[in-house]
Amino acid sequence: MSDAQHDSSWRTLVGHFFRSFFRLNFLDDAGEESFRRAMIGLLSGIIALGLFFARLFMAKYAGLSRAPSPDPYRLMVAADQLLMICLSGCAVALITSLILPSIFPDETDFRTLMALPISRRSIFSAKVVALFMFAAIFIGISCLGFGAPFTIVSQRHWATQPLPARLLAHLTASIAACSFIVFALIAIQGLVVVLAPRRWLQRLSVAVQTTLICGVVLSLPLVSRVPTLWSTLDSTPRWLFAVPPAWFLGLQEWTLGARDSYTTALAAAAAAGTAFAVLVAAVCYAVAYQRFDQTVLRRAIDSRPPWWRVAVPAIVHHHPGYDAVRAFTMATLYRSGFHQLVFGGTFAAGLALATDRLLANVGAGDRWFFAAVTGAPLTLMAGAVIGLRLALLLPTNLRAAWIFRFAEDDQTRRYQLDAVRWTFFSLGVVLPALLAVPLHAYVFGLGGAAASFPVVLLLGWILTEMFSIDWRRIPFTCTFLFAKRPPAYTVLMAIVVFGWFVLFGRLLVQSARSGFRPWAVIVGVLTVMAGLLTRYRRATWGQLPLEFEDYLPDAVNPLRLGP
Amino acid sequence: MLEASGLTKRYPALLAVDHVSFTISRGEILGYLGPNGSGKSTTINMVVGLLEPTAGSLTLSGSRLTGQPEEYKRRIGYVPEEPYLYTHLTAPEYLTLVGRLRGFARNAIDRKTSELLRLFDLWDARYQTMSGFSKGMRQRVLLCAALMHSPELLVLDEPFSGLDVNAGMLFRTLLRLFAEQGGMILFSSHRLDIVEQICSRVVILKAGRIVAEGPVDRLRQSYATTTLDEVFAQVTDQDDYSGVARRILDVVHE
Repeated sequence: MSDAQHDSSWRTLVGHFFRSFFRLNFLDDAGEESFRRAMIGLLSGIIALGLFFARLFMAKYAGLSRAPSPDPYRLMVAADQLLMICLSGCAVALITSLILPSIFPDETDFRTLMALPISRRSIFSAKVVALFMFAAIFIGISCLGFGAPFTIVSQRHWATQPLPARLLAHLTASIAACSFIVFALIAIQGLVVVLAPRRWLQRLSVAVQTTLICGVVLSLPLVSRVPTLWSTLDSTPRWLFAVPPAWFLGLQEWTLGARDSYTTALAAAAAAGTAFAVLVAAVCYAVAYQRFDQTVLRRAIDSRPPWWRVAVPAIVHHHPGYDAVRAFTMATLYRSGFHQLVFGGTFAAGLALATDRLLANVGAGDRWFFAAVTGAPLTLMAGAVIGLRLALLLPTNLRAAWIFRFAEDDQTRRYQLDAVRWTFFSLGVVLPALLAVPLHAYVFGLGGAAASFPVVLLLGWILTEMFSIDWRRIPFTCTFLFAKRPPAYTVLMAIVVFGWFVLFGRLLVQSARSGFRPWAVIVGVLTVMAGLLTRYRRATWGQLPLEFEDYLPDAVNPLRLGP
Repeated sequence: MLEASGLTKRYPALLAVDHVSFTISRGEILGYLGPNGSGKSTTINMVVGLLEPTAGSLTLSGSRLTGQPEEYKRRIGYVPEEPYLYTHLTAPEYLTLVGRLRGFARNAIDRKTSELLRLFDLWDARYQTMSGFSKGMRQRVLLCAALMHSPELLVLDEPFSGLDVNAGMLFRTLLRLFAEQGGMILFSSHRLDIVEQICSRVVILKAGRIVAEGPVDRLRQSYATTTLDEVFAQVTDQDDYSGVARRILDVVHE
């Protein structure tokens, strides 16, 4: 092959790998297109969020510029710069975690590309270049999107450096921080690829990916509290060395000329940490390169049923259609990393919100703290139900869904849909309610927890009934179009439902705990409501055929704000 | 008896199947042949109820697809052309899913599943998800799923692809026995040697229309040939193979 041909095929390969980062294999063509739109929307969202923060900070820094001394300004700028580094890092970490399984050439690449006259070196180098191009887009946009507007609005007369210098230093630090995150994630995935036994590779990879995404989501309440650190920054706390984004704040200050030992040590930690991450990532890539065939080829996945399922016969016998869909749904959720990720990520968002409320109300007085504790299971529940609904909507192996089309039947359809409702209730309601019991027992005592639990379950029951009313799908068997409704509409509806459920539900749980009579009345009323909704659902479910094709709404979405 | 009458499938820019009619009686294996793009898979998708015909009707032992689709589908077992399966499930899990969707009791499914897996030589792989299965193994799982409910009609779209010699021979014997016991089989394949061995009658399709139909022997006599391959080549106007092959090599060597 001539050099020109080699260059051309290598460029083609880079383009192929780059495009594949924007593609999810399980989606059909329409789904892939809408996923790309969603990614572009995400980038626009980062820019919009950066401008929103800038607007928020404008008034704050106008006030600080009128302060008699520069110290509050100086410390506040440092804390907010740390916030911007954290936000950019979170955005990049989230995106990189989403594409984590594609970071290394995989089995498909091995089987399809190694048979072509392309060297292993070309495949690996093309993958690395494509990954860097992909990461560079997100790093660039998130660092500029968050950092530039903030640096401009925080440039006041107390600033000791000119705007271009501050902007350059901040961008250098945040780009370095994001690069550190990308290399750290490559290193983590690389260690999994290189060290995990092959039969565990896929599961471990999925577990690591889910943990990382949940970790990013769960870190958001802590990140949102970074500006409150400003008063402690002057005391040069040692614990900041355990917080990697703070290393890069040190790097920024060092770039701007600060040479004190604390700042220098933070900057050195940033350099050493990045170098270590790069080294581990490079070693993992080198090992994967050397042992390509051994590391990427999957072995059969052993899915032996647990002993108790074999030993204990089924006690309750359900309708076969119900059994079939329930078993299929649970097996898919258990084995599909992507679906676990969607459910786990949204559930983690609920957990993050609940944690945020708790952290925000520690020390704010018993009333507010108790309200936050009472609302915790409801917040978790809302996150779990929304995540579960999204996970069940996303398809897997669409072509295999012919068996469900083939076996569709007027008589069994309702039972099949009942299995979906069971999944919503068990994973979306019972699981979060049980998780919150220890917290309620700790804060309100066993009696308080026991009184709250049935009310929480009934509220969850009503929520899942409302979520199930228009459901006409066997989970994972219908095509799915991302962002088929305007994001603003979806977000607004989600906020309204979420706000209503948590606020109203919290008031009911609090009232129910105040005595036996209110408890009995609330439980009674909620039971009747849940029963009526269940009756309505059972009367209407299954009358229409199941859906196997998603479609774009052909009407505008009215907000119905008028009378 | 399966009776397909005037089956037509029209897409906006394509007439895929044009007034195709055939019958399959009890104990009969009908070979359904045609070059790629001739409308074979479209017909099969209509026969099993996955595609709605633009015109025409399908009746299986008195049940009409349009009037009693569930009763009609209950009598059919289907093996699709590609082994489309939920590969994250194990073979027993998949067969249990299919059995439950067809309304079988759990005990009956467990019993049938165990026996079928043993007989189809899949027992040792029962704990493996099907993502690691070869095409032949997946094909065997699909045949188990198609046979589980003792269907009246088996619809097989290229069922021999990926099978090894032993499994192929088992399949052939099984299909013959199934027909001898009164079952009906609609058998679509490009393997004309197998079609010749097991099918009592064939239908040959070209561009959505039937161009030849009848028992294999009679077709061979009518077209004055010794093999079904030659009949196929004549009726589909693809008999100048050596000329086309020569032209291909000319292009390659240019």
